[in-house]
Amino acid sequence: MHIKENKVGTVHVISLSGRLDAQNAPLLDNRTSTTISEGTTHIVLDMEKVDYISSSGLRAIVSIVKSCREKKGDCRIANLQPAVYNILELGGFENIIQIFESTETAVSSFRDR
Amino acid sequence: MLKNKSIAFKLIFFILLSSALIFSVMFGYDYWMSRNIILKKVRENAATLTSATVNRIQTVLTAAERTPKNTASFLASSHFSDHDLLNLLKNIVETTPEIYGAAIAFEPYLFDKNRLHYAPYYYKQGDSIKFTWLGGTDYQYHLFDWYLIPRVLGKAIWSEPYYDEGAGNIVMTTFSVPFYKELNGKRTFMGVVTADISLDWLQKLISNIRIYDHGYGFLISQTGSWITHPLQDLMMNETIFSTAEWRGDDQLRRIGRDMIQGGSDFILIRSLVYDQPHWIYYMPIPSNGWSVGVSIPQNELMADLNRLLRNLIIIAVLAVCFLFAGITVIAESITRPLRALVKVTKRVATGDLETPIPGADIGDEVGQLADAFVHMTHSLKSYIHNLTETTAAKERIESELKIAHDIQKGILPKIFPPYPEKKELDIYATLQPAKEVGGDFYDFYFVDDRHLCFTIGDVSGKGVPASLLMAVTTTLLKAKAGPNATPDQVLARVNSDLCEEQQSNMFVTAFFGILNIYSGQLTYCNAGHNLPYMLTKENGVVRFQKSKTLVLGVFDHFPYTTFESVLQPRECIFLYTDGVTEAMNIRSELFNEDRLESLLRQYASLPAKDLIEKVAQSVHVFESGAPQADDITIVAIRWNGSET
Repeated sequence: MHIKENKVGTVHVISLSGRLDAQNAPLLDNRTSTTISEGTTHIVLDMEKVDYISSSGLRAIVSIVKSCREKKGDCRIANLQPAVYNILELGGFENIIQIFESTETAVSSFRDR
Repeated sequence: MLKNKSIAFKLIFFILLSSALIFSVMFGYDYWMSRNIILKKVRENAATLTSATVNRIQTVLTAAERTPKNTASFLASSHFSDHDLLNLLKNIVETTPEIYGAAIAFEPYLFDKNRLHYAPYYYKQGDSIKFTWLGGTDYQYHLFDWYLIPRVLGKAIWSEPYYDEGAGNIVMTTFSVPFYKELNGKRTFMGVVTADISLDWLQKLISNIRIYDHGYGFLISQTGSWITHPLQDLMMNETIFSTAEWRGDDQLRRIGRDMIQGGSDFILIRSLVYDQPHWIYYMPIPSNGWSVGVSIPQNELMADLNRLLRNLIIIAVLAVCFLFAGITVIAESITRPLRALVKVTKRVATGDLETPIPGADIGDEVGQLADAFVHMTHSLKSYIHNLTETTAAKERIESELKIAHDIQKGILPKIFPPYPEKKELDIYATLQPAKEVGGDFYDFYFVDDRHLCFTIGDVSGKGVPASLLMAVTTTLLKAKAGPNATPDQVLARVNSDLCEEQQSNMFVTAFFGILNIYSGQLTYCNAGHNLPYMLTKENGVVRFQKSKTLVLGVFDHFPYTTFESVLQPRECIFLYTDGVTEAMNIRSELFNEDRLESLLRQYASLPAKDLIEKVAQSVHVFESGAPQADDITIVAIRWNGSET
């Protein structure tokens, strides 16, 4: 699991790669909870290089989304691989989390408010 | 080479090796220096001895030379009768002890006009003096070396030594002095005065030279003839060159050449007498060019030194033995506790931590090591103790949780057929738990005499939290269901309660349905769960309708949707959890929906129990060899229609 953070304006882009499973989810959790506690509320998760997500990974994403929303911000997901999108769709997560085709559209979605 | 040897062996090996080296170098140096000193001394001694001998010979020779020389001068300057001459000659022999015999030999017809040979000769025989005339037809002395050579050279000479076979059978040498007279104003050669010297005394003098036990002296003439030598056969028979020739000894030849040329040296050769290395010193006699040598056996020279060296070697060997014993004792005393420690450590390694460790009270490094081992076993003991306690506690908790889990699963219906009196229904379900405690569940119950509620679900994650959440969810689902509650209402209420109660962001997928067993009317709602299949006669295997959905427990106020459908008799609802489709084989391939659908098509008409067993068996065969990753839960509900 590799986590890369990048700031585009006020939006925090977190690029993930590898498997987002029970082993790696706590890493993401720790990183983002630090980021959010430092005041970041707008996050885009770039999942281009994530090829698997488990229920723990879903939990971590839900946790980020909820934390951002509590602070009037949001976490949006971009660049999902089809297999990962299917897992999200099965649980109905696409109904409450905004999913974008690319990082750029996800980032710009924050500007269009 | 030494890598696998013991410490004691290495210590002994290196210390003894270096001691032996040191001893060898010391003794070698000592021997070399002592040898050089001895040789220098011996050379000096030999030179002194030889020089003294040469001087003694020279003295005799000088004395022997004086009389004939004086006589020659007298004859050159005086007139004398033959009577005077004979008296003079007799007087010389009588009064000069060194002179054995003397002659005055004249040129032909010079002293007496009538005599070709005129040479009176007096010589000693025993105690008396004898007289004879030299010369005659068989002894024409004018042609002999002792006469001819001084005449030609015009100076006095010593002859080669020779055997005098005439008078005394002794070895002699002759000193010949030419004399001249003024005749008619012209210096004319008159004849030769001779003095014979017996070499008897010389041979005695040389053979009396004793140096060490087997040292000896020798003398050679100016042509290299052996005059005296311990080997009698050589004397007067051979020269140093002929000896060198038959011995094939180039060194001897070179020495001989140097000796007759008046050289002097101290040199190592093989002795002619003893066939051993001898040091020889030689030196010329000035007056006749003879050479005196002394020969000293090397082994006798070096005898003391060799004895000293032998004693030193014995002492060194004893010292090395003593050192060996000392090192052995020390090495033993160092390695004994180490070996004991090794023995104990091996026992510790097998798990016997109670073994007493020896030597920890000693202050040296081995003691410190032993002390460290003591600490290690103490730490190990307390670690093992803690681990045992922790493991026991963990096992207790796990077993209690397992029991709790089993109780929860026990609540789920597991007696089949559950409603034997309801012929409309053929229900079967299975839940095969994975090793780790999981969160699958299923349930069914009647809310009134005709409405059967059924549900299947999966709590996210594994372990104790999942198990607890599963218990809560099943309880809530049962509590919220009722005769007038639609599936979406039930799920929405459960969702609200779960969202309120848990902040851990764990979620639950669930499918909830209500079947009217008389009409076949079905209402259902999905919350993020795998969509069940409907096994129909007309359309084969079809999935339930996809809808806007969301898992339970994370986002409140989600608008769930209820769908409606009507079952035809003999149609079957097939519900499952992702443990079926995500079962993995050893090649990391998933079982997936395609395989499941093909199985369902194959076995669609089987009774619920047989259908489920076929599917479960296929999944087991598929993942044989790989560990079961998740709970496998399957529920099948076949509606037989209300007529039966």
